[in-house]
Amino acid sequence: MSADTAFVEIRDIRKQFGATRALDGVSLDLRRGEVHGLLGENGAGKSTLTKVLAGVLAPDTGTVSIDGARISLGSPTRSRQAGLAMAYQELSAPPNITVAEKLFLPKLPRGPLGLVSRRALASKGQDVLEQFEKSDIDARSPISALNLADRQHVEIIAAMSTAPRLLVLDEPTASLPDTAWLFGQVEKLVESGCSVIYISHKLGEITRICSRGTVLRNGRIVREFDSATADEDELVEFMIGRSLTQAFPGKPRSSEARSPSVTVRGISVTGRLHDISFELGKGEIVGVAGLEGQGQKSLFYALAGFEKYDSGEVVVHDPAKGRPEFSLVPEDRKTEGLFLSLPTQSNLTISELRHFTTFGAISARREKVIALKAADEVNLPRPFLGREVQQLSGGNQQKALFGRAIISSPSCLLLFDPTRGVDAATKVEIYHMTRAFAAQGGSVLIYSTEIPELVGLCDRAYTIYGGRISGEFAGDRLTESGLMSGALGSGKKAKA
Amino acid sequence: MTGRPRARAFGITNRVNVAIAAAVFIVLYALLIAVSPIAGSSFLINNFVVLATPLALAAVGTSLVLIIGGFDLSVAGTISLSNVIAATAMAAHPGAEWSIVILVLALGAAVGFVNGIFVAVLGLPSLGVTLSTNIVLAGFALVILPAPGGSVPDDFVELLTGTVGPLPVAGLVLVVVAALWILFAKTRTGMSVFAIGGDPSASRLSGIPIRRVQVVTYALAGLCYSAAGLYFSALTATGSPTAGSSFLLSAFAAAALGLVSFRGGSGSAIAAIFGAATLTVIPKFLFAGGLADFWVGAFQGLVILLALCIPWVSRRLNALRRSRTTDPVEPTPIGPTPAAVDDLGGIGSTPRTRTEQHV
Repeated sequence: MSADTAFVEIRDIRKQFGATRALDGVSLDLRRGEVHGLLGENGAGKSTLTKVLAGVLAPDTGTVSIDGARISLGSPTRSRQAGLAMAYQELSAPPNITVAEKLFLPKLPRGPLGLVSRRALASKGQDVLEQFEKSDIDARSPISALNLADRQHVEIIAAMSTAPRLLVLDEPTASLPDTAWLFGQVEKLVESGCSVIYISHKLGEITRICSRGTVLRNGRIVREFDSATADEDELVEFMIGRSLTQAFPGKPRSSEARSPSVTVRGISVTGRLHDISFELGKGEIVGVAGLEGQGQKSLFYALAGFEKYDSGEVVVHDPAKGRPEFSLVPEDRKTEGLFLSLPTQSNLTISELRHFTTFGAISARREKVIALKAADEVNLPRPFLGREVQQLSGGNQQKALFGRAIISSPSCLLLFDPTRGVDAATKVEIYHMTRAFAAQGGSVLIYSTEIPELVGLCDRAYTIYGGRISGEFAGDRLTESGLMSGALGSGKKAKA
Repeated sequence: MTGRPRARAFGITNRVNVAIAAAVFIVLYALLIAVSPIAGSSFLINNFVVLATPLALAAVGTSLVLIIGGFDLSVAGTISLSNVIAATAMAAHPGAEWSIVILVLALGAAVGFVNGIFVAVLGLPSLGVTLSTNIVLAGFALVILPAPGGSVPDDFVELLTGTVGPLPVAGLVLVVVAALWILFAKTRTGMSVFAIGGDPSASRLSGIPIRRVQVVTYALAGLCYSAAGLYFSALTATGSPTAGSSFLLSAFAAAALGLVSFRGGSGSAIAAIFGAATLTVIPKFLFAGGLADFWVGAFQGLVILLALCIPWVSRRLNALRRSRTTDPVEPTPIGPTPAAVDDLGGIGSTPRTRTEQHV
């Protein structure tokens, strides 16, 4: 077979859920050893395509063949046998198994008696980790003891170590601090003749690692491109269906003196946070940048009241009566934020229960008023209110969560990575809603894994390293490189 | 990988559970001997092991299903049905008792298989499915034997409740079951049971045939219940259509005393066997101490509550140790601390740590 003909042929895959066409006739061709980028916002059908290829979802129609041989879809086992491997965005490792077990699932290596030896498993697992240059991960460690980045590493290694013919990486850098390791491994794999479908929101990654790519929107292919000639703005436009001229709302003039809204003095959480002090002004958006696990989560959760701090104090200046001081949009909307099986309306209003109940009885009319107000504030289409929130796309779910947080008009909004796994269009909306909240006099503390986002959105930013504030950046000093160095612990604590 | 703090590997934690459950039992039995030295005689030890065995076998089945993340209430109905079938069939067909044993065991596995199909293939909640099958089985038991009666042959009784040399046969049975459990936990299916209990959808994406493993697990649990029913028949030498009803709560109590997670994903059947033994020794202990019968329930409940607190205590101890030894710069697992997760009513975004999962 010559290098130019298709090694992997995906033909006319269709999959419908109820009224939604998740995949509406998707066809892709991959050459042997090609890294193919797949772009698309959440709900575009990327994850559905992944699951169809994995055999977890059976498509309504369509075929997939590798090297001329057709794969029967709808069975995970057969997909695996055909040489398909997946690294899922949601990370598919049960928390209670060990790294070594995850690496070899489902075909754990058996000894002569058909039994799995933990010792042999651990040593083979360690060999695999070494082979993929991640020997600092302990193969005997339970998944739950790993940080998010290492869980992502394990997910990717587990997929790569099966020597696949087609590897699908679904948002592989969502939790990775640096991409160098991943790109190195992908290149090695590709040399062995494996083709890769690389799904990402991050255009920069796609153009770096992929030779060609495809843009998916609403379950259809809307654009195919060569990385060498692709225009990023144009691709974004194809992805979200409109131009992305102004991603970030304008910042108010920084010279204005702000009256303080929240003062944090020396709060500490044993083993996690050390003597954190800072101030938020009224109408100010303040960013927090940091590598994975530097205490930022403890900081946000402590301010929100979900975690106790051992010392220090938090002062909220002139809090409004009957209004919460802090309102948190948590990291993981599905497990920490939303009541997935409840209607969107209840998800929006549930923190406001006391405003529409009389002696415990809910007034449906008053609830509706609050829900409509919240939905309108976050541009959530009204027809969604009656649907279960789990039926909404990731972006709309995040809007629902955001709506719940701001409808209570807190003094301070705590946003913990609010654009994670959210499509580009919704991201822009979230930026504007955040700025609108601040413009009304509220203050915002936002943590994000995407540093450009903090630079574009925030009036001021802190970096956190090892549980301490490692730098403060404002005005001209608020740059990507500045925040990066602060996040690495080398920033100096100085006012701009 | 050296020098970095690591959570205890998963196999070890379960070994710790076995040690704790065994220690609790041994302490209580030692106290019993202290109060009433005759309890240390080989005759009474044999009696005790025989008495504890039906519950221990039932608790093994209960634990299997708990570990995979389900609840199996059909334990009571399966024991009742096994008991009445054994008592009536063995009385009607003398000499065929071993064929009847095999038949009853197969029936237990078949009941579990049906449960498994409903839960795994149709995706129905295990609590509802097994509640229904439990009622159906209890009904069948009443049809077969409306009032207590029937009998099992003496040699069947003597074999199961007797001794081999100094060793009780029941004890040997439990040792074999424990050994089978150790082997099962080392099979692909056995390891998958834990993974599915930890996170079923991640297990599915990892390529585990979760339906098959679930069906096998429920079938094995059914097998354990029918074995418990057979042993109960040998113990009482008669049949009763309500024989199993007392096992429903006590099988779960034994699993709790064995620190088997009620959230799925961790536990040891061997620890559950010790849990069953603890539950059996408590009434004897109270009786020897001269306390009235009706204190038994209260005391058993109290011991179970204490067992449920063990993970909490170990979590606090771990937190204390961590705060003394770790520096804030140390890489910490992401997510709220276990304590914070608790305060939020268990909402954690991140997988629970090992210790939190127990019950």
